[in-house]
Amino acid sequence: MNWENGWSAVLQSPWLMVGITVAGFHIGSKIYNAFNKTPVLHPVLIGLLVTICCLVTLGISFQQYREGADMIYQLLGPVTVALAVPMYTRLAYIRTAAVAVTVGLLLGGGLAVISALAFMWLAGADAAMLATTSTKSVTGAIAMQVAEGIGGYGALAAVIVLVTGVAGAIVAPPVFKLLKIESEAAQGFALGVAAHAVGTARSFEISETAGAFAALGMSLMGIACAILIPLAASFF
Amino acid sequence: MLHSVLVLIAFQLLGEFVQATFDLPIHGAICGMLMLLVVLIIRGRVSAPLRTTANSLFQYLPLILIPPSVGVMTQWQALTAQPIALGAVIVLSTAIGLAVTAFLFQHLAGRGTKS
Repeated sequence: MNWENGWSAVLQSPWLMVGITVAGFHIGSKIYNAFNKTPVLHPVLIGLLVTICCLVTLGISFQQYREGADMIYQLLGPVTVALAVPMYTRLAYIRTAAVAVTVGLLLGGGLAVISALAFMWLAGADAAMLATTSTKSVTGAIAMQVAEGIGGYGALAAVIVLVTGVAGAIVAPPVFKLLKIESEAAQGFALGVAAHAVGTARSFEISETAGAFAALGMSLMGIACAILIPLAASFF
Repeated sequence: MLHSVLVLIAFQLLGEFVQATFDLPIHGAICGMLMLLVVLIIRGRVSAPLRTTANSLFQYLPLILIPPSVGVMTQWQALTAQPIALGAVIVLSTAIGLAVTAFLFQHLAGRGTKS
């Protein structure tokens, strides 16, 4: 009998990495649901923290984790492709307010990105950091891959996206109150454009209409950023 | 179900092919997503199995996002350089985006889309 062999086999098994990840997400979801789906306790955020804590405690390097959790990692591709399905479905909503949708997306979504880049540039951020920040308002799966494609940090982009979503869900009510935004469609669309999936989840709590327009805003922002950000980056 | 999974894998591969062939600065999966979107727009409908498959996959999207995000462990130094500035930038620019989008939408949509 050799305890050490047994233990090191477990430490090297890819299933330990998968198990830690699933457990982290499970704990994150439980906490999120227990606290009435408060945006700050987003399950990915908690899941990420739990996973990192486990890795640090067990002395597993990111490289080892990355190799083990690769089977989950690889699924990101086809699931990203599948995002085209809800995007297509939501495009039908454009017809109900085509002008408002187009102008709101281009100016509002554009300003969300450009203002972030301008502030980061003023704070002295380098090119890689600017690339990482540029995708902040896009849903995580797309943001990560777009940021990496133009030389940014993919993982950091995913975290910035999460923080953006949480910030958006929290500052939205006071912002809407200040500007007297009463239209639920406008509230939802803005939350989808500026705060992606977290904002969309928040919008469904306002109403079905707000949720539908949030989903549309998130989809259009995703499409626009997936095309325009790499295009814009190729000029720099 | 299996047919829909194959459709997704086919577009993933097609995306990787196009990305590598034209040396595009976007990931293959994003290419594949955009191409599938174009095909759906041209066809004008989504088959029920494809919709079901997509929706069942999305249940696990948050979980799938965790492994790539764990990379912040190694990218931490980029973040710790100016964490407060970064936080302020995120909150401020998100508020600006929310305000401008909601304001324009409400004023341009007019009475047609009453709440």
